[in-house]
Amino acid sequence: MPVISFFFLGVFLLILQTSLLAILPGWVGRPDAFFVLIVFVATRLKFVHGALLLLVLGLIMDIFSRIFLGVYPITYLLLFFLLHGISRRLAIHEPVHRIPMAIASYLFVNSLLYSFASYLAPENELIWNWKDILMQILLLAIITLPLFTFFEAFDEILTPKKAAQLFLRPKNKNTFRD
Amino acid sequence: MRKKNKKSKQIKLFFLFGSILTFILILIASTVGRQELNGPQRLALDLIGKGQYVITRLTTGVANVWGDYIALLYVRDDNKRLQQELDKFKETNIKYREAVATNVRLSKLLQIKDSLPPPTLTAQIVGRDPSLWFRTIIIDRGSSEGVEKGMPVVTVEGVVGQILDTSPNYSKVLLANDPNSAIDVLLQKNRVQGILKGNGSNGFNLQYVLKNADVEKGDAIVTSGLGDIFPKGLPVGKVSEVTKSKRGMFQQIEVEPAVDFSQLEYLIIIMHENSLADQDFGKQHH
Repeated sequence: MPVISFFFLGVFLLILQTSLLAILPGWVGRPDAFFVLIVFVATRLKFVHGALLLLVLGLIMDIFSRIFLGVYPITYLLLFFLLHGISRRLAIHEPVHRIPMAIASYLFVNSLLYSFASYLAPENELIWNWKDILMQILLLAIITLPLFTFFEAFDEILTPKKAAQLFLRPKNKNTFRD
Repeated sequence: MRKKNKKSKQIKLFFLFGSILTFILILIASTVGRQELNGPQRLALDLIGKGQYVITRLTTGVANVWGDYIALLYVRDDNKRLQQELDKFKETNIKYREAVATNVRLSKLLQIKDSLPPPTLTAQIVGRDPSLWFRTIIIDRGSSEGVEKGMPVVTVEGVVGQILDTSPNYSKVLLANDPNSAIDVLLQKNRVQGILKGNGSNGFNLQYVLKNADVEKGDAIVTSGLGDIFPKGLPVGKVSEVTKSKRGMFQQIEVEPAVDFSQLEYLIIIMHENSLADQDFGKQHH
């Protein structure tokens, strides 16, 4: 259930990203909400669920943005394995770590995309545009925390156990008093 | 004695009225033909004017108070109504402006459509590439309308790109400013040929132009027609910078696009002659 819901949420964000946000003037910036979802999925969902979801979202991303097929699924899966592995060993669930984690992930993904594109078509010179990248990093720093909070709330509502905890909390926590 | 007294009284009255009448007649006779008031007239006017002023002020004051009170009863409704009217007119005004802008755009498209070899198909952009590395767009025309891979896409200003992929209802366009795009072009003034490649941002690089070729800033670049993708002579851009390094055979030429890639909205797809659109075109004419 969460996988399907996050899939639809991802598609919705991607549509938003490519249509509504794409027509914003360049100087305003186009916050990459879809990418924040990718990072969230990579760190929070179970191994099989997360990997499957990122593979499918990568395939869809290939439709919206690609010159070479398969670049996005591979990149997203690599990001997933990396973040999933790290999140098991480090306490990156803390809100403080979310922004640097999202920024580092963004740089990682873009480095991979740049490398793949340069490798697949060496004759087509790609320019690493720091200005655009820094702009995106700044926007990510702004949107990561609110979006993570939103995704967590979304996840809690979708997961029956978590939802039950959320809505059916015991009235008095001190059971010894009763 | 009594009769004498009575007579003298009558004579006195007669003289008094006679004198007053004479005075009035003299006054009237002296006033006729003049334009300025005399002293008594001014005095009378001043006095009467004062009265008039007081009365008028009082009346106006009362009328204003009454009018304001009555108006106050309806002002909220009026304000609401006027605000609604203003909103409605604003909305209409925006619609008119948009309609005029669309009209101008479509008129230009129509002009260029007439100048292009038929058949052509107009398309609207529905999505843009979100990545930093690729420059592609999604348009609302697909293979069901005869759109095929490789078909050129243009606007009134010039070349936009070519079809990269199609689905039944949508197509993906590789923009000319993508680093993976290459178009055969020539300099309009001296027909020197080169390959135009996108630089990944809002511009092109003109490659494979020999150092001895005469290229200057501002030179117009058009499609060469080679490769059978783009028709010959479509505007592509203007030379913005020319660098001749000591090494190598070729010049480094930067080109400013004729098209503003950030402002794209409606596009024209130049169809192949055997495409579905052409078949429809043929049917309509037979």
